[in-house]
This record gives sequence, structure tokens and C-alpha cells, in this order.
Amino acid sequence: MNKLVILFFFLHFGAFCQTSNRIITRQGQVSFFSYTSVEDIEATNNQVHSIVDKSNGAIGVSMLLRAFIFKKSLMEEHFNESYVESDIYPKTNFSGKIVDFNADSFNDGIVFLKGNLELHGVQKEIDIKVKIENLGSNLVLTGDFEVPVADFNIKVPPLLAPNIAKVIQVMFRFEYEPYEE
Amino acid sequence: MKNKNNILLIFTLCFGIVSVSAQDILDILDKELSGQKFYTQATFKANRVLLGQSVETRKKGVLEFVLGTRYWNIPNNENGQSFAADRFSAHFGAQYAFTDRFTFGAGITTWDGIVNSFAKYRLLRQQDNGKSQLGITLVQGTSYFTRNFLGFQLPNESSNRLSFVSQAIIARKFDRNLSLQIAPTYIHMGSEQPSLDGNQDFFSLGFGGRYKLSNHVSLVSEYYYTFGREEGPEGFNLFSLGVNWEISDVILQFSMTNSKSFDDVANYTLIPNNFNVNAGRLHIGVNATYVLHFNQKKRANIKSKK
Repeated sequence: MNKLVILFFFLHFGAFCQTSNRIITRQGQVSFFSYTSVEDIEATNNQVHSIVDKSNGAIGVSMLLRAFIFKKSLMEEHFNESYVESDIYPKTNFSGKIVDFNADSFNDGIVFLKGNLELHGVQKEIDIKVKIENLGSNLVLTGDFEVPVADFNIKVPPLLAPNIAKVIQVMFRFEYEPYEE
Repeated sequence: MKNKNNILLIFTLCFGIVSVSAQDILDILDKELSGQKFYTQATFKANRVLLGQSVETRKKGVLEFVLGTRYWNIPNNENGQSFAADRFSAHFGAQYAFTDRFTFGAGITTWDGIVNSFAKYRLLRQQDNGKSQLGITLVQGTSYFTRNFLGFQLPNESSNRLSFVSQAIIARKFDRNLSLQIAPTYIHMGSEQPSLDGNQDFFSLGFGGRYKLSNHVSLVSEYYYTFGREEGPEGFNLFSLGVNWEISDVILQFSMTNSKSFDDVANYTLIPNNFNVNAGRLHIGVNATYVLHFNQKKRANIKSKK
């Protein structure tokens, strides 16, 4: 009987700790912009998934490239077929950690993330400045960073080089809630 | 004492489970993201493979302008005064995608004076990791003949100048490079043509293919076999070979074919010569399709929350 009670407690606390420490979003937003004198390209993905582990400051972000919605449908096709080749590399991932993680990291304010961005089969280390808003049980992360196209082995034909910016601006907003499996 | 040990055990186990590395997080996200379905993109690059219709239509709110040209020489041309080519035909067309599934288009051609229109409906769309492995598109085309030309005599009654073509196009994109389609086609000629031995109804089977050579260039070809006619005196089967080249909003389709027309009915029934490279047999063409996007705001849904 005693053992049963202990087991019950163990399972209960195990589940409790898990849900309270990991938070997730399934509707995170990532937008990117390429502004040139020839044309502006904008796209948004509203189905970005991300998990933050509050116990150690680890963060993971994953999204399907096909889920980006463009202003022009033809651009969407070209983006997937000719540039990021989403039929071969369907996802882009970021995995990283909060730099100098401590108990106060999740309070309102600014933190820095260091991690790997994987896109088009290439991994690059990047640093991202993130603004944190703590809304009690929910946490909101927002920020922006820049991605140089050439770093990720994305080929732009010389004829179209003026149409696509050398450096793509990326903006994100993730609103997390407690994670339950 | 025993109790304290138990609490310690609970804590260590609890945190043992909780402290996951970044890689574990990505594994969880992997599971969360899998199973999303998308419609297969770019089975073909335009509404037409080259001359015949493809399974593809544009997304809602896209207006396309098509400017087509075709050049060929006259066999045994004695005077030899022509620059580059003896004959020239141009086609101007426009097509609009009312929805992601329904497209309507119309066009006119200089050389044979055919005014054509078509309506296309995507019955079934192929999905990546989805149930549907095939795409099916239905096409109904109407052609109005306005003058005599090689192999066609204009009927007196204007109602007999209308001809119809109905197609069911079944296509599959096998991998990122290869797409194939097969198109059972029914053609009804509005008038009895001597060149067609008085036949007014034809059944034709079309084959089309695309092979992606690079991210912006693909090789395309098509062949239409028309049943129930003697190939030769009653016309030849359509064959075309070409290249699709995309540059931003423009798609250029370079073609070599045995057809002088841009219209579907004329292409399947009224081809007076076989495909080879002799004068009068080889027709070289370029189709330029310019894509214009309307309703951009509705698609974008970009919220700047900075």
C-alpha cells in the first residue's frame, strides 16, 4: 500500500513537473522580408512550432517551409521549388539556449539566444536578441534577426540577383502556453 | 529517514525527466509537425505544357497574359526573300483564375484566325504525403473558326464554325524532377471537313511530360495520338518538344513542333505534316506568359507586431 502511494506520488509529480517546465507554441509567427529596388517579397508562416524548457533555458523552433504564405502565389511556388527546395529540405529548425541563463531570465526584458539555425541543409551558428514578456502562465517571445542568403547555399541566378535582397530580414512572435503531451 | 529518501528520489526523477536538451526539443517538434499535408506544387509550370493543356492552373486572383509566336518556312520557296522565316503567326490570350480550382481563358491567333476559349476545373489535386496521388483536371474548350486556312474550309452557316474539345487530364508528379500526364480527349468539329474525310468526332489520347533540368529550366514534351483516322492524308499527330524557362513573373516556353496553330481543336485534328526538321515541317515558337497577381492582401495576412 505504502509503495503504491509512493508510486502514485511519483507519477503525479513527474507529470506535474513536466508540464510546468516546458512551454509550447503551435501557432508561432515568423515573417521574412526581402526589400530591393526591384521588388518587395514578404511571407508569413503562422504555424511555427516552438518549445522552451524553463528549467535550463533551452529553446527549439521548427517550421515547414511550405507553410509560408506569400503575397504573390507565384513567389510561393518559386520560393519552394527553386530557392529553398522544400521538397528536399522541408523544414527549417533553430535550436539554442539562453546565454547566461538564470532564474530571472524569464522575467520581462531582453535576453540573448545562441544556437544553430538549420536551413536548406546548412547549419549556421547565430545569435538572436529576444524580448520577453511574462504574462504569468504564458510567455511571449518577440524579436528579429538577419539571414544572409549566401550563407545557406541558396542559389540566385544572376538575372534575378537584383530582385532578391542579399540579407533577408526575419521577424518572429511566439506566444507560449504550458506543454501537455 | 525513509520518507526523506523517497522525496529525494521523486525530485531527482522528476528533474531527470524535465531537463531535456535542445535536440530532444527538436525531436518533440518533429513529431508535432509531421503529418501536415500540402498540395503538390509545380507539376507543370503553366496552363499549357507547350501547346496542349496541362493539369496545372494558377492560384486564385492570378491574371495571365500570353503572347505566343510561331515561325516556319515554306517548302521549295523559290524567291528566298524572307528574312529568318517565311511565315509568322502570333497568338494573344488571357486567362484568369477565379478560384484555386477554376480558370477561364480566351485567345486569338493571327494566322488561322481562330478565336478560342477554355474553362478548366481541378477535380482532384495531388498531395505531398497525402491520400491523393494523382491530379485530375477537366477542360472544356470552344473554338470559333473565322476563315479558310490550310486544311480547313470555313462553313457557310456560322453555327457550324464552332468546334468543341473536352479533356480529362490525369497527372502525377513522380519526384521533384519528373511529372507526367495522360489526357483522354474528345473533339467535335462543327463542320464536315474534306481534309478530315467528313469525320466530325474524334477521340485523341495525349501524353505530356516535364523534366526539371535546373531550378528555373525544365524540358517538356507532348504527343497526341488521334484514333480512327488514317495518319497522313487525314492529318498527323501533334508532337512538340521544348523548354520552359522561368524568370520572375514571366515564363518563356520555347517550342519545336509540327503545328502551325495555337488552338486545341486545330492542334489535334488539322496538322497537315509530320514532325521533322525540313522546311515547312518544323515550327519554332516562343510563348511568353506574364503573370499578374490580384488579391495580394487577402493572401498575405501579414501582421506586423513589433
